Amino acid sequence: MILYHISTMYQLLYVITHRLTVNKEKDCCLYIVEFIQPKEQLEILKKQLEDTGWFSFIKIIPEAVLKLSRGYALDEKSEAETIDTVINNISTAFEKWLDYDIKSCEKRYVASDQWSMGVYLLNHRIPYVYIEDASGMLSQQERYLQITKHFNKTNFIISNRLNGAGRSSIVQEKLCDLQNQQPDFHDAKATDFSIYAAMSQMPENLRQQVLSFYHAKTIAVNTKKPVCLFLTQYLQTMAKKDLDVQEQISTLLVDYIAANHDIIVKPHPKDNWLDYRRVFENACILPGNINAELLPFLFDRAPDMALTASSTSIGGLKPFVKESFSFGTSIETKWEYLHLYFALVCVLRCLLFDGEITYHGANRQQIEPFLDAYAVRLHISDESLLIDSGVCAAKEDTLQAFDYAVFLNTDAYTNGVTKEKFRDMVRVCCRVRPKTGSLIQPQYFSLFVFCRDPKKRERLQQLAVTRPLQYTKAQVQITGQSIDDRSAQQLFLKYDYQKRSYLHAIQNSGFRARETQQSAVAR
Amino acid sequence: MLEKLSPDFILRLYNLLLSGNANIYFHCARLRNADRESATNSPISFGLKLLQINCKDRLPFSGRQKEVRFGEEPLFAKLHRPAVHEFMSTALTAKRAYTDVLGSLIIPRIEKTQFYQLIENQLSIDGFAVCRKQLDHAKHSIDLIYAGISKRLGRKITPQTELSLFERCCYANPYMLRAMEMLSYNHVPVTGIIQTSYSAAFMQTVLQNCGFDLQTVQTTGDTGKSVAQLLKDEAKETKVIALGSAFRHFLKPAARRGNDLYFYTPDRFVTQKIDFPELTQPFRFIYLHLIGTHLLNTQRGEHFVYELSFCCLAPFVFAQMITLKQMGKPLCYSGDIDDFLPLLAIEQFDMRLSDPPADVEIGSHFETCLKPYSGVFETLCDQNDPELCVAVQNGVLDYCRQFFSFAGDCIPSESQLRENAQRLLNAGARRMIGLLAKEATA
Repeated sequence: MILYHISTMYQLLYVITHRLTVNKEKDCCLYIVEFIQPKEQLEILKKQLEDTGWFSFIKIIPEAVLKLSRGYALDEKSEAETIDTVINNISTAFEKWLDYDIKSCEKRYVASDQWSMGVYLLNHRIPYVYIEDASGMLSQQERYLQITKHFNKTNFIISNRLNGAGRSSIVQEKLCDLQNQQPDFHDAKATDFSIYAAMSQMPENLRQQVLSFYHAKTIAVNTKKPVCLFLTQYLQTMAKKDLDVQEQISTLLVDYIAANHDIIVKPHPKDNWLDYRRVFENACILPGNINAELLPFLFDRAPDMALTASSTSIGGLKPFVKESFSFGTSIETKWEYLHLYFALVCVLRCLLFDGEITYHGANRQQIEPFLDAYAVRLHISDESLLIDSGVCAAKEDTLQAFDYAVFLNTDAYTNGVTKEKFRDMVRVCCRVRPKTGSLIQPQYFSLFVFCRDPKKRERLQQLAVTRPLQYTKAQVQITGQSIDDRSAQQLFLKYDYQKRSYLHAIQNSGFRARETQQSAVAR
Repeated sequence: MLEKLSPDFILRLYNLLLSGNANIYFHCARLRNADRESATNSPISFGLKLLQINCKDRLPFSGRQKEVRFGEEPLFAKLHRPAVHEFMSTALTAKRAYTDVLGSLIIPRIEKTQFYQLIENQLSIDGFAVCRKQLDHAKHSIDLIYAGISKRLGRKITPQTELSLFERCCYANPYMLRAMEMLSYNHVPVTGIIQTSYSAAFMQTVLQNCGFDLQTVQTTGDTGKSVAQLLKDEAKETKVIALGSAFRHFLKPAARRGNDLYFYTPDRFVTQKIDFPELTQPFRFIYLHLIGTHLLNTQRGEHFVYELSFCCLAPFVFAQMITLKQMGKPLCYSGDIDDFLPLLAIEQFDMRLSDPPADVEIGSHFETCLKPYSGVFETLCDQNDPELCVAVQNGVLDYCRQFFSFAGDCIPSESQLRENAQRLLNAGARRMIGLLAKEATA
């Protein structure tokens, strides 16, 4: 008997395809954590799964009830002894509930090993094959552990104590989608298994069985315009658990990256809090309950683009769409920099730049897809450009090595600023102006551009671009400006770190003096 | 033994302990939200704590205790509402939802007395406000009330002015806009049961103008029945939720019908737990609602510096900007064009900027009427720590945005804004500077 254990809908599809391809000749059973679906839907899901006959038996693990026997809620301050007591309590309660000898199974494939089954296996050192939580998540362990921590701190503490999340030595293999792991990822136990590959290689009738299990229907794309498939995320797994922020990120991405596309939204199965019919008027909203990994087998014509803030599901669509854009988890906290990157694109276009870019401090993971989306052609000429996250500081030596330099100005204050250095730059102002009903704040940014060629420098000073952001309900204005003496002095005063530190030392000492005086009076 | 009890039974027990009164609900929900894991992992000790709250909060006047010292302790930490998606997460599988609308979905921009006074001024009829207040009765229709007023004042008066003013004075609560959107997205039909003299058709129009899409609306004025009776008349269904702010009039009768409760703590209920400095009306009314509908609902409020900026500094900056704007002069500013002050002046107050006179030193930002207070403002806005700086600026920006959005055209007089702002600044300034200095040295 082969045992599978899952807790998410992604994992369900993963084990179904694995069972139908790798273990097609064997008897298999399935254990499902009850939180996979709301109670009423869970019963339906179980019944549907039983009807397929893919698994000999299916058991729902009553984690809510098992929780009651834990005894304590754990946190970072919990002592080892307490953690061990909770682990033993969970193991004992799970063993009592279990009516099957899972040790006798030929192989155990376990996803989300922070739940009772995983705790039991790890505590009794019973070997198993670990299944990654989502496509590409094996190489993003820190992200995964943070998500676990958010949902259930006790599980997180136990997982760390027992080396869960696939870190234990008893783990025999780690099943993952190798194509979608982070660059430079290496794990000797990693074994490749992707849903897309498995579904593609499956006999047609079997594939249709899987699709009909999900009630998946063909998606007709009836438009001549290019189509963008936008993948949303589950708010609870994002860095800022704020619907306003999620909406802002979604609209900004679509406005900046897919403005000329027809939009098809694929909500995350649990993302049922944002009404995308309102957010993206006229967009086609797909049902959330179908896994994104099935979409390649449903569209009658492949979308031109797949876009997401940082959903792992985009990995499964890469072989299917013409281009795909993902911005990494940093966009979840720094989404407002998208305006700056648009200004950067305007600058590069104005300079007709097509050479080599060197990054210093700037977020390459966000900038590169942005430049790709605007078809900024690189690596053609010998020209060189530096993108620096700081203010144009003491970079004189460095600047000699480049034809151009763009300072994104995202660092607050810096050392070594002089008035003269600002005089050598062109200032590019970015004004973000929300309209009525917009969620974004008005914002002013500036980036500074160093350019040797006087003609291009002059052209940059004339730069004027206005860009409406349809779904964000805002307008962005990009304008170039020369920096005169007065402005240079203002900028110098604004960014000179030493001057600021000095001012603050005075203010703080003044405050401390007042505090001392007040406490003396009080005494 | 506990694991033999079904989670449903435990949930029912919990709901029983929860629904005593508004204060009990508030404190129990706060206890649970503070550490949900402890609540589920150690149900016995959690249950004992709930019992303790039940005993304590059944004492008379227990709900009126001041729990937070304004300007000294973080209001958000003690009084915030759960994020809307968390608040609604278990409601989305309901078969039907009922809501009380007024005080939750729709919040009046001005208080009732002031509202009646406004009508009196528009109609130019002396004694209207007093008469209207005396005849106000939720079970009477608006036409009946106006017939009474006409009789008393000896002239024919129609409710048209009141209705159009009421429409203008309704503020759509953004938190509830999201909550209702979630219900609609998840196909949960919503019925409004409203305690008001206005007709259901009129309330439906008001709701639509505010952006709410309710399936049906019933009012006490139309039917002559109380909210409890209207709820009682509704067909009994399973998995029904009641979402509202009127605990005694709306949620308790709903609880008796077996509905699951979703208590949106009303702004007045929450803000009465705060020890505010003395503020004058109508500023006080608007200010307390800004705290209630924005600060205690936004995730940004988690940052104490943001909160202090929103509550104490921003009213002052707002008042100063209004003064400047009314003077009709451009803002004389000597700093950089990307600074916060130009952004605020141009984008929020639609003001113009001008260069300062030649003899003004560049970088002396406050050669304006903000100068006497530049110490506080500069300390707050010019922090070396960008995160603090952003928190302060967002506090000011959000306050100004929300104030315009909430008050609409009911902005209090300039002198009142200044007077109250000064009190708020005094209440929080010491804490603000202290906190920032501490963080800066750290």
